[in-house]
Amino acid sequence: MKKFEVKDLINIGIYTALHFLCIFLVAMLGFIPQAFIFAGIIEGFLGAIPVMIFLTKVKKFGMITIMGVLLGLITLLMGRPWPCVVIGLAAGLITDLIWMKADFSKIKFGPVCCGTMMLWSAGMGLPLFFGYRDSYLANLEEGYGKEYVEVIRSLTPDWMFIGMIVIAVVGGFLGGLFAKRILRKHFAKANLVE
Amino acid sequence: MITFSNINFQYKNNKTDKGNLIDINLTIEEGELIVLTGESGCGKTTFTRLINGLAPNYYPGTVTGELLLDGENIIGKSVAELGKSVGSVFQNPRSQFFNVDTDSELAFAAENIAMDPSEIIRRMDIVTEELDLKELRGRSIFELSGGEKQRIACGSVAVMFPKVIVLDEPSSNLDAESIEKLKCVLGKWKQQGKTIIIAEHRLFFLKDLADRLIVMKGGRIANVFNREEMNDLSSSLKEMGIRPLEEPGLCIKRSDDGIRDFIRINRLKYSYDRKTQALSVEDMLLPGKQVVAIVGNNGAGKSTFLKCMCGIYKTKKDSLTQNGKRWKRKQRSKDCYLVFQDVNHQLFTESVLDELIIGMDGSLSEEEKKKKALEILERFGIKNLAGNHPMALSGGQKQRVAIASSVAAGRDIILMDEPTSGMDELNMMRLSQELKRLKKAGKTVYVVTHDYEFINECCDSVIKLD
Amino acid sequence: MRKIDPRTKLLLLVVINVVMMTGKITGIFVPVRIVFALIPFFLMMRETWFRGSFIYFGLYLYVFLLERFTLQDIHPVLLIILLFTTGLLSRFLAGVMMAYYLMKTTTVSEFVTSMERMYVPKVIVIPFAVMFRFFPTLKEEWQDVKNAMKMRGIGLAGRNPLDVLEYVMVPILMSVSKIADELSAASMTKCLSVDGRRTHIAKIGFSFLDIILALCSAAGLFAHVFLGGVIGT
Repeated sequence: MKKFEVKDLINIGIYTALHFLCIFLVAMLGFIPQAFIFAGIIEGFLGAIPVMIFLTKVKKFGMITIMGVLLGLITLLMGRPWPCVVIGLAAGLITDLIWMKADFSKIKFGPVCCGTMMLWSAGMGLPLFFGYRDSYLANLEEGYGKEYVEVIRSLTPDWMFIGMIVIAVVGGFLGGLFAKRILRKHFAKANLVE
Repeated sequence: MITFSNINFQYKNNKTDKGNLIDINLTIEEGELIVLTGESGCGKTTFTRLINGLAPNYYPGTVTGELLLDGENIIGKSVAELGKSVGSVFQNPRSQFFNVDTDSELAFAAENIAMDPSEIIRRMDIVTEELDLKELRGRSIFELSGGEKQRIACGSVAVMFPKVIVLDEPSSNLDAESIEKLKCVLGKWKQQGKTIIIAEHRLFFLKDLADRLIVMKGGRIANVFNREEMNDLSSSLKEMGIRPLEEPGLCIKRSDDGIRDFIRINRLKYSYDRKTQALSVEDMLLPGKQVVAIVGNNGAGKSTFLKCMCGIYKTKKDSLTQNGKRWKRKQRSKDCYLVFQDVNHQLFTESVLDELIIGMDGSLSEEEKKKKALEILERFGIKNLAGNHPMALSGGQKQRVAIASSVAAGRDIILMDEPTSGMDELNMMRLSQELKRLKKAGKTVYVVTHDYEFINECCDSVIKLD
Repeated sequence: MRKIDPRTKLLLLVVINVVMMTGKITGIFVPVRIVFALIPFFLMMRETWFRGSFIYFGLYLYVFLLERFTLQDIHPVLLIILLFTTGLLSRFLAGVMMAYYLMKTTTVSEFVTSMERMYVPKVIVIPFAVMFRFFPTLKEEWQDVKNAMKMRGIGLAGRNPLDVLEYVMVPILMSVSKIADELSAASMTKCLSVDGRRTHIAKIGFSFLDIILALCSAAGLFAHVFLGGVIGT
């Protein structure tokens, strides 16, 4: 494994900040239960753009994994249960492996990487599913009444967890395609990437 | 002592067969202050990068020859290692700080080499005293002005007590007052016997300090002038495309062009927060159909003035008239076009041609738009760039594209914020020509600047903002 | 005034978010929520940001009480719309304010120091610190781009949203990538390295107030876990 340089770490920090900000802004919208499918797509789409630019700077294995860990840590800071850090790490690692397979340069793998990177956002939705869900919903019921909870419950069966991930990944992939276009149209033309 | 012997350097991404530095042979004595100058792209920045190690360590490329710092070859030494004896100050205040507060930034380099904390604090106090940084201590970087940021950048370098300091166009984003302060800092350093290498376009503030002036051209050292020779230079500099060594006095030819009372400002006020008034103009007359320079001290709110005028900032209860008619904010934003100091943010399409087309009157057909855009580009002498990506252009070219796009958008009043900062003589002259042409075409140009040479070159009147 | 240790601030941020985002809104959790909403209020008052802290807390109380006591038993669709505004604020507001407080009152060097005290490796610390520094820069960038769009009269309305996205993102990304390059160069000349040992001048450490705040957090977490919260069940 090649050693990280200061530049690599600074790039990780900067693009993680940009990626997170894109997603955080849209995530606010996701509070409407019916909109969260929609929001998932947009989140992935927007978030993918900085990821794509970041990929062009990644020439070493491990950089994307660190990005995943950072995203997991931020999720933890946002009050999500601790497995979110593991999810972040896994998302980063998977993406890292794919990007390594692409020799850190084959841009056609970019959108796939943008997609898999979005797996970290599963940590964000964690409280809505599995063991967390029943107690979460029970809490909500006391507060908001049965009907509201029914809406949420019907929208979020456990398989929906998978659905949510798929949505975010698809959003990421589509965003990646868009970002690839931007990359070709602007960055390559302005000689900012090879 | 720094010795360049037969240094050649070429960046990896430079695909031409011409090197970025060619046959550099030079000895810089300890305690000397060397000024490097020359047109944009002449290699002076690369020169500084070799000394602090950024080239070839960070900006990859191939080097041949030897570069000795106190007898030791430093080519191939890591940047962090060199950082212990070579301090670097850069051009862009937005990107040279790792920290968000001034104290941390002052301590940063020393912390990185694991200096003892009590020693760091001792040195910080010394530097604060020497460079007069007291009022800047313990502040957020984001609330400092460009000049203040640059002083902190100098301070953070000084804490390492480096023997050598390189500065890459440190004055480009500074106003007159801040340049004066920068000059004081350089003077102090020189007194302390530090070796200083400074790459600059604007030379007037360095005249009293420089031991040698080195003019570079196409990657080579073209001329070396010592102190005595520098004094006889003033006339020949211009031919070399170098900014003057003396700051010229203001002398503009009174012209009868334009309209005396074009815009009248009865009231224009703006504040960023509740506490401080950033701008307050009452009763001011601006001439029209000519090139007007707006000068004023630091903190007079010149940039704010431009942003209020062109309607970017929402000003309440403003009262302006153009040709005697009320001139509301909405209308102002349709009539005015502001060229930012950092022009990068206002170019966002994929080609120069699109940049012009996007702002054009929507009623024209695509064909007409294209035709008109090409005409304008022709006029500005950049038709050959029509297909290029705006971000691939040089600073001066970007600026021209921005002006061209304002013309394309049919704006009659063009506002510019410090357009000549960081510009060499050649580009400055070109811009002056441009502005004179705009005037001939019946446009009005208001330009905030403190570049007297530029004002003398093309402005018809000067307004002082207090 | 003694500064609060960054580690305490981080802990508070986590607990506030846990309580606000995933906790109950009834029974004992009504006072618990209010206490945790009061923490950022109190910390901001301590920094003499009076105006901001009152606006924040007033707004919080308003949305929370509205959510808690008036919104029950109305039509679910209406409820959901109302919840979008009140619920969004009552969940995010306290955490956002706490995060704002954390960023505003913690210097990068204090932050780095406390991370290193927690034995976080440098490959995580440096990017984290850069993120921390970068949010305000992004805000400046965004403002510049917004001003440029406004000035060129390129509005959001009536255009293909993908085009708009491109116009906004391209200048930001270009500028960000330039900043990343220059910041790396500047940091390297300041001897920043990945493996070298560092010293710190930042003085961090726990005071009496830190202990109180930590106890509060512990109590909050305890209530959350054992009195019917989410984590750990």
